[in-house]
Amino acid sequence: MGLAIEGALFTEAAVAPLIVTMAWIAAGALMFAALFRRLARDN
Amino acid sequence: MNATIRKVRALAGKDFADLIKNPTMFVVCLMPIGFMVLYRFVIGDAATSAGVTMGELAAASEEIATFMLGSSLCMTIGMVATMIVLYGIAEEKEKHTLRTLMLANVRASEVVISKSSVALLAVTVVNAACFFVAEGQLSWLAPYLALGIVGALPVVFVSLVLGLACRDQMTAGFYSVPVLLVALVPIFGMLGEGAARIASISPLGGASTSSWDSRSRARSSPKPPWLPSS
Repeated sequence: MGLAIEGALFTEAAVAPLIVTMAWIAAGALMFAALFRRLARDN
Repeated sequence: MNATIRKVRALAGKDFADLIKNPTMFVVCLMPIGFMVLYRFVIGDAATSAGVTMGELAAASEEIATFMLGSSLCMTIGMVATMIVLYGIAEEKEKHTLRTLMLANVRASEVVISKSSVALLAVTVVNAACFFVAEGQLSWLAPYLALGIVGALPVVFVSLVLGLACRDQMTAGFYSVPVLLVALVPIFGMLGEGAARIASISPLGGASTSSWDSRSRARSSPKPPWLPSS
């Protein structure tokens, strides 16, 4: 958010935060894909 | 394909109505906005009691905005995205409406898409409200909302998994706590260098990192006196 306010959202400084965010999105998606079939049942 | 889109649209309408009707989900949407109003008063009062002049306050306005917007991003995603998805799915399971939907030829993926869309839309709306309460500049609005959606994605994925594992809304309340706490980690990144390092690798660390990280230290910008020293 700080980078966005400084207008530096598309600079080299934004690479590390972007990688962290993408890694968490990928981890979340993988976890969801792995557990979706098993959990998608009614009580 | 058309049938799927029609079903998802109908489900999204139902989920939106549930969001308004369910007091937990509705109040949780108002909480980040309330916190932003509180922050504004607290920061104003603290600045006045610390003897900060208007000039100094204006000089620190960008830092204050960064802190407030970063905090609101974490709070909105942590509260709104988590609760809407978790409580939404848990309520369906508790009241056995999920079974009714499944018997009406609605697929689990359509329910998931609908819940996620409503959660992301709610995050965007609440983020926009927080943005105006925090008095951000209009040029920051688009990146702020975009960061809100990108940052909400991992939280929505985890909440979907936990929501599917919930039996009822009481379980949902229990499961939502760790997700909320992890989402709020970047807010505490300003407490010190170690905390900032942990905050920067947390799920929302990339999207909402406030100005009290290495960037800010490199600039040597002074911290406002009402914020805790590192």
